Amino acid sequence: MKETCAIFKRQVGSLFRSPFAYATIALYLLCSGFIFYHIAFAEVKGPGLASANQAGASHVWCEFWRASGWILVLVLPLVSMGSIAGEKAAGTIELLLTCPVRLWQIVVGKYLGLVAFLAAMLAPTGVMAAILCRYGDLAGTEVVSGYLGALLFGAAALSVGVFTSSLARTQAGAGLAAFAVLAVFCSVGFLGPYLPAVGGDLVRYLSIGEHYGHLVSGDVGLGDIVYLISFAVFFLVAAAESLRILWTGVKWGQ
Amino acid sequence: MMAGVIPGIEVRSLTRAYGNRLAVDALSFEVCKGEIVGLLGPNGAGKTSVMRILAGFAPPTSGSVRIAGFDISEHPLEVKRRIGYLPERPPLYREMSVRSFLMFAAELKGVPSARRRSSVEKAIERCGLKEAAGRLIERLGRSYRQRVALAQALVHEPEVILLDEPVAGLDAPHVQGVGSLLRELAPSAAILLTSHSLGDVADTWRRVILISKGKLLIADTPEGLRARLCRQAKRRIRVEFAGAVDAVAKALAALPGVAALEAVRRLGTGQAPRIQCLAVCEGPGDCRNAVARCVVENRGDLLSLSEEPPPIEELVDLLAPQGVSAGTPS
Repeated sequence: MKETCAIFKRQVGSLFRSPFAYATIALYLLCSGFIFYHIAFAEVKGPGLASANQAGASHVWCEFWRASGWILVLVLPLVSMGSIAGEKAAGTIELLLTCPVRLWQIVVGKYLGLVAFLAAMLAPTGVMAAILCRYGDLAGTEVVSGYLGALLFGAAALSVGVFTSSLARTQAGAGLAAFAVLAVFCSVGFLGPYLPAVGGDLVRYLSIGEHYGHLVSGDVGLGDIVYLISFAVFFLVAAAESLRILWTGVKWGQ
Repeated sequence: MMAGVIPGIEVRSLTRAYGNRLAVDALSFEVCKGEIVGLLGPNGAGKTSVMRILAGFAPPTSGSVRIAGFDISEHPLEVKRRIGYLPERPPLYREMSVRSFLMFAAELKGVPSARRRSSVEKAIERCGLKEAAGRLIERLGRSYRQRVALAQALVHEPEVILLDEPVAGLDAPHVQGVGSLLRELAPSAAILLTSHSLGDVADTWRRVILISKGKLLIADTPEGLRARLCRQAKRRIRVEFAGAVDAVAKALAALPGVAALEAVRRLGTGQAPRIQCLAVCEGPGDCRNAVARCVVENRGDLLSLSEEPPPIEELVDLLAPQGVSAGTPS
């Protein structure tokens, strides 16, 4: 646990010491701010904030997160691409893998650091929630479900980034691969209506976009939460396993 | 090896293959506590592969490695707790300060929090990093960075120390500093370090293991190796002189026993010229005396004269046909 904590602290410190991280946060907030403005104040169709009732605020909140999901798909590979590929490039992977630390501790420590960064990136959007609560009567439960959805979806996206980072030789390669995997898992649900019943249900179930959509629209189901957590765990285990196979050859669990 | 004593490093028939190429080929040796052993070989000999396997960074294809009695394949964490490893390329987080990096390394290496700070300060002191302790690693020069990397390898006071080219990039005073540090550490640790030169910190070595193409060529004491070299290798005398430099250079080139004058460098001003060169001597006997006499007799002022070790490639060429000639590798 101490080792995981040490790696977590270093990962967070490293992210927040980098101007790239602040540029990423700024990019995210700029895009999400534009989307929020567009939905809340400039949208002419549908019940926008102008209607100033709960249905309007809920609609804005839900649509804001749905659109923000695509920004997360673009931005989070940039955040996570260096998690392990950067260590390879700097040669510090040799330090980590020759310390008495288990592979999963390295992966989890780095991953939790990225999730902390995600939380910091999402935090300023609290201003938007405050606006909707103040002027649109947005319910507290909807705020919570929106952030729960964004955090779980973002955490799932980061796990893909950690996995591709463990495989790729370069950070750019890791970022591109993470984006490709996420794009597939987000958009596979669109195939649902074109497939036979079972196949359609299966692709909708596999789509992280579908589960994210449920959560941010306030339809919080245990199945959605379990799926997104399982998705992240799967890719983290795969990341630890790829490190084991590619680098150390140590036995499972060591 | 003394009976009943567990060697710090015990390598048996170690082999590492990359595709069809053998980087390490059935290598066996031991290093006991209190010993400093030099693993010597030209570039591409397999030194780094050996170090990476011993450090648990790369798995062996076959053979066994035991560190402080623990098999590296069966108990990798126990092994990693007991080693201090300096890779060939210093593994540094450039955005961290020296002290915070060493605190991080100490935490990862399991130094208890109660004595973490004192361990870090001790490593800082030992590696001559006091002035740089609060500075960011990215702002340090190459020599300092190498010492920071060395400090992380020593911060948890390991039983086994593996140093891959520890003095690469260090200037002469710091090379001597590393030599002194190794002597200080030797009583409580088994130390294996690689080099591609017989110079560096060779005077600290108790034994030398020379490898080429992954195979053991010779395991001997430094004195034993030097004795072989005196008999077989060309001797290189670095000499610097002033005065009638052109006449001396001409006389040195014509001196019986001197096969060639290499790396001739003109130094100093036109009024007071100096020449530094390498006299490559062949044949039996010590030619240093003849070189010194030649300088003085041709109205030169002898400024310095020292013998340089032969390039490792020449050593390998000399010893390779003889195979393993030291009998036991340990």
